[in-house]
Amino acid sequence: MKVLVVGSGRVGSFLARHLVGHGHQVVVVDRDPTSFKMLGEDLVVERVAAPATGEVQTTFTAKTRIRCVVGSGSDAEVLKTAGIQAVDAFVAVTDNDYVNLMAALVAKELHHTARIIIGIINPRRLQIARELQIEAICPLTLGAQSMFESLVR
Amino acid sequence: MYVIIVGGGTVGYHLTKDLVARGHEVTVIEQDEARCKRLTEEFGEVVLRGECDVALLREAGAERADVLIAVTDQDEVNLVACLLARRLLKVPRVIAHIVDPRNRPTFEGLGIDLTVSSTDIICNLIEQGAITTEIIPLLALGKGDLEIVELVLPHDSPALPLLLKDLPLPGDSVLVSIIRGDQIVFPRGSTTFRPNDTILALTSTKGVEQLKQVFYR
Repeated sequence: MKVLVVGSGRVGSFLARHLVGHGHQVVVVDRDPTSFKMLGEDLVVERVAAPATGEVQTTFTAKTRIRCVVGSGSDAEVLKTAGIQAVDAFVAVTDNDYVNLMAALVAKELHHTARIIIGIINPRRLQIARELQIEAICPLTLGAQSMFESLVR
Repeated sequence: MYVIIVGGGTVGYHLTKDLVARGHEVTVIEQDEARCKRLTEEFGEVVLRGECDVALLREAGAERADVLIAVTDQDEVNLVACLLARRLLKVPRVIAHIVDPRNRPTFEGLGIDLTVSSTDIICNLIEQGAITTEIIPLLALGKGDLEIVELVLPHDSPALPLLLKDLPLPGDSVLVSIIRGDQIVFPRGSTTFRPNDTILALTSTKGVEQLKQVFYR
């Protein structure tokens, strides 16, 4: 399947590599091009695209074959450059909960992406995601929960 | 009116000041303690401290609010605040301030029709000033594609020897009135022009450039 991952931090890059390892096609969006290093050492700038939108550029990791797009994940134009129209799944895991929420709303309501999931850092905002009918995961809550289970088991 | 303002920064502060002075009821939702303190000291109990979620919006009485205005410095936060207010609390009117004008279509696509972008406003002003040195835009109407403009006739205006009905006016422009000294002349077909006449015209934005050619050499 084709997956668009917004946010190339620890979670995003791990997920992207994992998906590629399982034979999926992945595009990653991050506004900071240096963050793509976490996807693989062999990063090369392939082409600079979409001059009208300025900051959008596309890079590529050769070995892992992940296309990378520089730009804000909440910017609809950037998401179009990343090919949001044609993806089967959408993930937003930047370090900004509201960017993740807005990106997911663009995917869900403007592009009707089939599968959408976002990461939420502040557990209190899980409720906001629920109210906007966006599936969300809070890694902190999950981590704490599994620690609790190991402790009391 | 009861107005909820999300974001108590510079824009939120001045909005509050203005709305309170006009006698409206205002609640500001703001997270930062120092900002909350400043607002409370100046305007009394108008602040709810915290993050704008449904629970806090309920506490603010969003169900009876007439309008919610989101003016934080983050477009994403403003979008979420407006959507929660509109969709879950049925606030009849929501307005979002957007920092990056590229986000406007996204807001519109998600049902937030009323967006204000200072970048857009400033760009429009500069653009209008740049293309019409002598034609002064007074008022933008509609979605900004119609405007009322003012122009002062120079001594060498090509319009001077002509009757109004003979002017090659663009089809989407109408002369509204002519101010001559302290007199107001209502334009008719037989009206003639004099130097220093101030002309008010209603025109499409496209027609401005053509108007300029009618009245200026």
